[in-house]
Amino acid sequence: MRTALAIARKELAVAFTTPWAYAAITAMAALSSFFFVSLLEQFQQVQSLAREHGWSRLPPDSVVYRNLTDGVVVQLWGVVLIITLFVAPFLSMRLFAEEKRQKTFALLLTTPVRPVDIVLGKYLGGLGLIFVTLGLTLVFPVVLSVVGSGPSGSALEWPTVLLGYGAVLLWGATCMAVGLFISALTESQVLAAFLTFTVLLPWMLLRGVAQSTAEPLRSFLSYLSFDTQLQGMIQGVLEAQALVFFASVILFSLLLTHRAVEAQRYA
Amino acid sequence: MRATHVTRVLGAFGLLLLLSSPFTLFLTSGSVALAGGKAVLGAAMLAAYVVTHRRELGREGTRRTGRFLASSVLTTLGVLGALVALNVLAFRKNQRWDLTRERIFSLAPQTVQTLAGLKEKAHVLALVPPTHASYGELEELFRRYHEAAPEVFDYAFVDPRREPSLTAKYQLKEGQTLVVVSRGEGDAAPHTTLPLPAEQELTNALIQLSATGAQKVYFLEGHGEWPLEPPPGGDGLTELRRQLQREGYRPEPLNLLGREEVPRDAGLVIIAGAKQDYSAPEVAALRTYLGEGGRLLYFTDANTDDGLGLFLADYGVQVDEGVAADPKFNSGNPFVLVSNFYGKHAITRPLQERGFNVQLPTARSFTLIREGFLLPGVTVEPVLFSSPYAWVESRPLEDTTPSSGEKMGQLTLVASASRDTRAAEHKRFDEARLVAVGESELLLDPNWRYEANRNLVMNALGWASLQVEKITLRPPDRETSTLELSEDQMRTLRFVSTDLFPLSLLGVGLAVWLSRRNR
Repeated sequence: MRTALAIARKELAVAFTTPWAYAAITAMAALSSFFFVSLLEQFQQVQSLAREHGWSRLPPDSVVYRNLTDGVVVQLWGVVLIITLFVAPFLSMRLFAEEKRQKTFALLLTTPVRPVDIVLGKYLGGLGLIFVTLGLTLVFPVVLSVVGSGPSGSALEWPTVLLGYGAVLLWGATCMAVGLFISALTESQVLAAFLTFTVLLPWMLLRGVAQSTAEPLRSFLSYLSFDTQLQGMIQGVLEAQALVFFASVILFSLLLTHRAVEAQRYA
Repeated sequence: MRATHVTRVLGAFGLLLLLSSPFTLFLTSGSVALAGGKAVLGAAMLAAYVVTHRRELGREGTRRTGRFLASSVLTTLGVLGALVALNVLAFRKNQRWDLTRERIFSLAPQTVQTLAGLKEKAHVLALVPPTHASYGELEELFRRYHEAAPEVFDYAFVDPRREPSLTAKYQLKEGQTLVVVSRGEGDAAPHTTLPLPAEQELTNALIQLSATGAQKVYFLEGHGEWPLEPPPGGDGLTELRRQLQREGYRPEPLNLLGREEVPRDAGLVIIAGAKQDYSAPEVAALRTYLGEGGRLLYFTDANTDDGLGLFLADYGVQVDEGVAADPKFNSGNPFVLVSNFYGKHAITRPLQERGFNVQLPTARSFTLIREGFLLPGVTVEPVLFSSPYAWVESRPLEDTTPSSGEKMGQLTLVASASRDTRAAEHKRFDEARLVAVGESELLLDPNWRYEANRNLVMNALGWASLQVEKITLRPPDRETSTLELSEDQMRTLRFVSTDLFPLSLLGVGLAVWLSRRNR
């Protein structure tokens, strides 16, 4: 594990000295800021309309704007999940592909480091990177808790906010695991990023496919959909099945990465 | 091109065909033949590759690679199997924790209590297509009920377009949806139907379904009422009796002659088209029955007299002499009224929602008395009206047009009355309920297939008999919170969030990159 942590530290050090990581972090910050401000403006507009005409005269779906957690934070987490889908492949693409391109990967395999340490080290490095990127989004609920107000004092339901943030991190960890495996298959970073996105996007949208199918396939596809598993969490409901599902995807991706690294010895 | 090159390409395509056949079966075409064909063709192409490359595959290096490949496939499949098993277990034994402050994604305590009190298994069948907008929401609701009481609450979804037998059974039209809640097992299990329900409706349905099991419905006889068991070739109420049994009631005939009171186990009493006068002791028994909080459904007919006028007047209902007629809202005959003029009443709300027209041939109308004759505490309400063009024809055999002296305007064809009986001696229920319908022939077997009328009767029966305590759940919601930012504050926030914040990060990145580049 010590070796894995050393590799992770090296990965993080390298990442934070390359423009790619900053580009991805800036993109995440800029996009999520833009959506945060838009959601905030919309929230204010609906609240102002409600003060003028009363909630009963507004469309039924306006009810989410009664509360800052529902009206801004839950929706913001939904947006951040989508942005992560685009940003994570850029962060994961270089984990193995870059080493392969620079021919240092073969060198790494000749060192007395076990493939499992290499995989775990790379993954932990990637995880650190995505967590830093996503960590910036926590600033928005903090801002809201300062400027908003509620009858019981706190403007936000912090358990819901933090569970939603946990869902975002879990999603980021899953994206990195899938991205790590695909990065281990190619030496082209662009191809790795593209393939990661190509795998994650339909997987995320599986719920839409499930809706047009009949039972029991519908339940099966819904269960497999990232979107379905994350929706409950960002709204404040923690389910054991979601944790098991994401842990399974991460574990299986790491296993496949491990086999892909091992396969290099036979190539 | 050499044969081995061709078979290599074939092998690659074969692998693709084999691996993609489940997608063909489950996602794209749904055809077993097509998916099977792809799998067989793929396997054959793969076999062709193995046969033509057997020497190559047999070499030492390839054997080592093959061994690695085999061990990798086995390990991967083994881990995948274990993970699938774990996920199946997690799905079946899922645990959920609602971390919202108001527990807005949890069942109300009343629902949990109702589920805990269920003595027989309840089954929900949702006839809802998977593409329906409320499908996910309903599924989530049913899942919560099932998780709260897995032993007694079960549910299933059926696409009505794919199950024509069920669509016919529940008389669903194209695009309609329905949720059937049954108590117990099997086709004959008592059930009730609901439009797409929220938690409150579903829990109330479970409560009502549990309550009907003990309710006896007595059909009075001895005065020419329609019989539950009709004589051969005669008219009767066989279909109504079957429907009541399906819904968990126990219909039985009752002759009040020689009895001092209506049996104590009566959940409801029905007078279905009496043609002769009730005797004074019988009327007294009925009066006592309602006075103790009884429930009565009264169906009358044109040209009949049953001697119940004063008794009904106690509850604010006076039966008009003659036959209701309508020159505009009829089915070709002014005495066959067609109406969709509903009062604001629980009995007719579902009919109104589904856009039904009720049809009443040769119906009598009622005058509602709100003061004077009626007993203290009685509330009387109209349930179904005729159109405003109607009149009461006093000589239907001679005349089909309104004449002077005849009552004109919108007539009440169905009325309901209730009275608080909590203080009554030998109280049966807290409230007496009476529904009076100006037509009894809609109960007969040949007319029972007319859906709107059947719904009217069953809703009236439900309203009158199901005086179980209904729960009223407040739709859960998060606490209201507000945000009041001035235009200046908003501008500052916009600048800091969308400008300063990302640019600072980009600046840090550039500085790090440039400093490393210049090293």
